Amino acid sequence: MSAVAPSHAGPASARMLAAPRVRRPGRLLLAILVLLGMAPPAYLLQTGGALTTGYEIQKLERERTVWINRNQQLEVEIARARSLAWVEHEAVNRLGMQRAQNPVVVRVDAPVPPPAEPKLLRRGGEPMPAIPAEVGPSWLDAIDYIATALGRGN
Amino acid sequence: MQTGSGTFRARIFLLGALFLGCAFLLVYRLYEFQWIQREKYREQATRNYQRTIEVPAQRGSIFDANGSPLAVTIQLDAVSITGRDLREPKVAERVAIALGGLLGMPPVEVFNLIDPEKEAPVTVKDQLPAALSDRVRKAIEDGDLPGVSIEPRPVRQYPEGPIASPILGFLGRDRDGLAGLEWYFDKELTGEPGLIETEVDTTDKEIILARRIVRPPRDGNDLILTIDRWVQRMLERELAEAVRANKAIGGLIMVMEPSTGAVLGMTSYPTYAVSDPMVFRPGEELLHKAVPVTNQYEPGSVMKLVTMATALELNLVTPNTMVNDTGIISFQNGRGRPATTIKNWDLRANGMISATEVLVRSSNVGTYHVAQKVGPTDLYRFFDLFGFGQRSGIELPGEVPGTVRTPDDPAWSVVDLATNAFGQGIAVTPLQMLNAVAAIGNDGVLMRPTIVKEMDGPDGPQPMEPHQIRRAVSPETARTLREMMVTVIDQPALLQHRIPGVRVAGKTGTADFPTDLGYTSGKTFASIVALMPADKPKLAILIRLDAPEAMYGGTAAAPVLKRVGSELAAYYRIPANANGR
Repeated sequence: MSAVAPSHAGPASARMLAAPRVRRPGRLLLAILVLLGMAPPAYLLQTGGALTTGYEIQKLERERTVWINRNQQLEVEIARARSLAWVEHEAVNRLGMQRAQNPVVVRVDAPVPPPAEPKLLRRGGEPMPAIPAEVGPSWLDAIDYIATALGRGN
Repeated sequence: MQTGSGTFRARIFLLGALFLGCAFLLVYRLYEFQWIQREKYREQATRNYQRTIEVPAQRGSIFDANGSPLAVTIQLDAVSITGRDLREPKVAERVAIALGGLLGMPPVEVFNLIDPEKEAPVTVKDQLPAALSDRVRKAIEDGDLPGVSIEPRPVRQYPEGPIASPILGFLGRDRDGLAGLEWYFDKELTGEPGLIETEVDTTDKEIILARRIVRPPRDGNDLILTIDRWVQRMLERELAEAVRANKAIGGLIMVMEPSTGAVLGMTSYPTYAVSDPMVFRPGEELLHKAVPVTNQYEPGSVMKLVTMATALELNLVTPNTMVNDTGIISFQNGRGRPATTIKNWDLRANGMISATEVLVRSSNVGTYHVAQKVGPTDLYRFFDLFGFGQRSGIELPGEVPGTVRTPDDPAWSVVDLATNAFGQGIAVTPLQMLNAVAAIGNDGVLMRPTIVKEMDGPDGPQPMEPHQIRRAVSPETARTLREMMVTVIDQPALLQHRIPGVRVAGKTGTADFPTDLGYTSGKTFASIVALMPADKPKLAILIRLDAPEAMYGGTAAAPVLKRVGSELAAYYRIPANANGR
């Protein structure tokens, strides 16, 4: 308790001038002890937090993969619904259409529109495998984390 | 005392030595473990907690020329069961009932898959629909299905259905390409798997923070084909119909763009369905071949075009050069062998006819006279220039070069010159024949046939530029020959098979079926080739029916050309000719 600095100036200044070398090592030692004492729980706290986040990320990535896969399945369904086989099946079976016996082709001088087929299942929308988390924090990272936390506390 | 003390000391010494020896042994073993065998034990320890996971690359997709997916890989869930985790019979029974109910399977069937001694998971059902997959996943998460796992697995899907099957090919159980483009471009489509290193705890569960990407996966390239799905489907439909109507045993149709060598559609019959779950059936291996490049045939009269092109190019004939068609020619084979007789297909003698009429009447004797003017050296040189006897280089497996017997061959005789000139005694692939005709449509330039327009991968799109092989004949020769071919199509016998509104250049062909014992009478390859429009061809077409009832190219294949050509003309907006024919 004697190592605690007085909150007021004046007479205390005189006391401090009288025995400065005795008190400073004590405070320093205490600070070191506090720091050392806080290091393991802080590290554990940070590691635990990172671990939880890691699992959370992994879970989200799994969910993301499921949704990407589902999206691709739907794209295949769309492509299937746009396939000529399906269109013909619908035209013949549902709409009762028949092939024209004498087709009449009228040619007009109009520019040919580009194919409006959307680029289904092309590159860009493909699922990526779950991206793994970074490598776990090192001791140096932990010390740096504690130092930063303490610095913020000051 | 002295003696006792000495004995005691000796014992102490002995004991000390023993301890020392043991200590030394321990230190030595420690040294051995820690130093001499350190690498071995380090490796063992690492193996104990370190795991390497392979991340599979996504297999590339195959698209048609307009970007419609023909073959794509998607992930579909599969349900597996691990017998080791279900040692309790009551639990196993409960899981079998619950899972069977979800999957619509008899619980007994599920129960029979549970082997308590088995460590590896056994697949219960794969390719689950999304809704069912969700229900199973939820049941697993709720803890209702111990020992059951669900995981996505790659599945090849064919959104357009079973079109272009021999071109696309298929995959085996190990996801390797086994036929067609899937085989030819297997390496490019597969990509490279990635690697992840991770660590596990004592219960063999992964420590998530220890994950490290060693190598990210490199997805396979997509293939964008020159094939147009509409053209392909139409060709398949028309071929199947033509085979049925003509009571043929098979056939093929191919469409190519002469200016680029791009194959727009290519089909053969009989074929198989790539989307069939039992795609590989023993005994049906021949169906998996891309017949237009793997099978050779005697082209028959279509080959007269090449003979005529040679004669025109060498200025030996003009369209109006007259030849005497006597209807029959005999060759003495010498050494007591019987003479070889060459006759016209209709056994008629046409008399003095022009070179154009040689093509119109498809005169064998007339063609022989033209070939005689050319001579064997130049004729076979031009066969070579047109690509016969060599692989075209198309991106399909199993291409054969064809069989061309030249004068260098000891078995060659002057009869070969005559028969080869009108397409007998020479074997070509349908692709070679079409490509040669396409060269005539491309003002004499032979292009390398291609079926892949672009490869799109992680490095971006790589277009496959059209590749010019060589010039076979001059533009003038090509144009002259096309005009002669227009006369062939415009002859009265083919009047009813004309494509309305389009000027077409073409030639029919009929060749006997060769067998090991000679030619089969009554069975033919009936074919027709066409360029449309004739003035500036956009399309080269080859149609062949195998053993049709009508036998001849003009009667069996020409009606198919009318239907196919009319559809293609409308689709590609090929303009009507000036006289509106």
